[in-house]
Amino acid sequence: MNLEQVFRKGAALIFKKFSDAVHVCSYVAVTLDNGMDAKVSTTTNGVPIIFSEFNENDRRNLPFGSLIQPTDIKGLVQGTSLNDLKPTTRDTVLDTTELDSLGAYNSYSVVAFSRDPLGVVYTLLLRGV
Amino acid sequence: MDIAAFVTFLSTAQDRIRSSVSVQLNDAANTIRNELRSKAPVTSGAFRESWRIETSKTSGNITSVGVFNRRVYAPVIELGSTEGELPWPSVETRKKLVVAKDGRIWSKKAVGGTVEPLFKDERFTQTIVSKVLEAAVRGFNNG
Repeated sequence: MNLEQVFRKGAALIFKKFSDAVHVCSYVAVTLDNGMDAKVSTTTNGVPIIFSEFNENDRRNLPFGSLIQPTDIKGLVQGTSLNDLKPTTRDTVLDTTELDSLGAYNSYSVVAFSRDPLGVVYTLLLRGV
Repeated sequence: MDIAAFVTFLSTAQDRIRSSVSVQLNDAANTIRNELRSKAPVTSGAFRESWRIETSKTSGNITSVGVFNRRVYAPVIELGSTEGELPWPSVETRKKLVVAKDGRIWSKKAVGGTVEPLFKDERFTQTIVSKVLEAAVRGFNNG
């Protein structure tokens, strides 16, 4: 088993262990291939994303730490859940786990993101739309 | 809804979502193409008429559509020309048509290209994305 496979297995285990924090989401990506071919893609089944808060450590160490605002949400998503999609800052996440008080699903813009060196898990900076 | 009906509802959810978002994605592609056509620099009209839609395709759990332009000079319109290289080596040679900005030479009618500025418009992108997400929810709910 190579390092990437170990990471993938570990990430899958974490998502299983933290199932209470997993939100089932729809993910829409807008990409520009070669800077000129526009593409709109969406997932057609639920993407599990772990929602949590950013802590001081995140603010200090994440590449987008300085962009984090108090109401922002940290989303962790496995690269495999997104197939070939690579997150961009034009993407939107719709949390279909529960309806808000107005009977609508919450949606969030991907304001920034980082990935681990092997691309197994992406950390998303999500901000309510 | 009894439990058997609920299981059936869930098991067919992906097909319903796929079908609903496919329609909406094709609609989104039409909107994008029309917007790009309206922003295209026009001399003969060939570039404007060359925007094409790649109809929705599904791979795994991802459905997507594309909008592209394969005119041979499309990359120059979208990405600009490098100074000293064809087709626009300098502003001086085509003063009426081109302008220099950020180290590149652009069509005066599309400085910075047309696709990237369109997708930098957050309101436009959010409208497209919201409609796709609404279609996904509609597909899920319409059992």
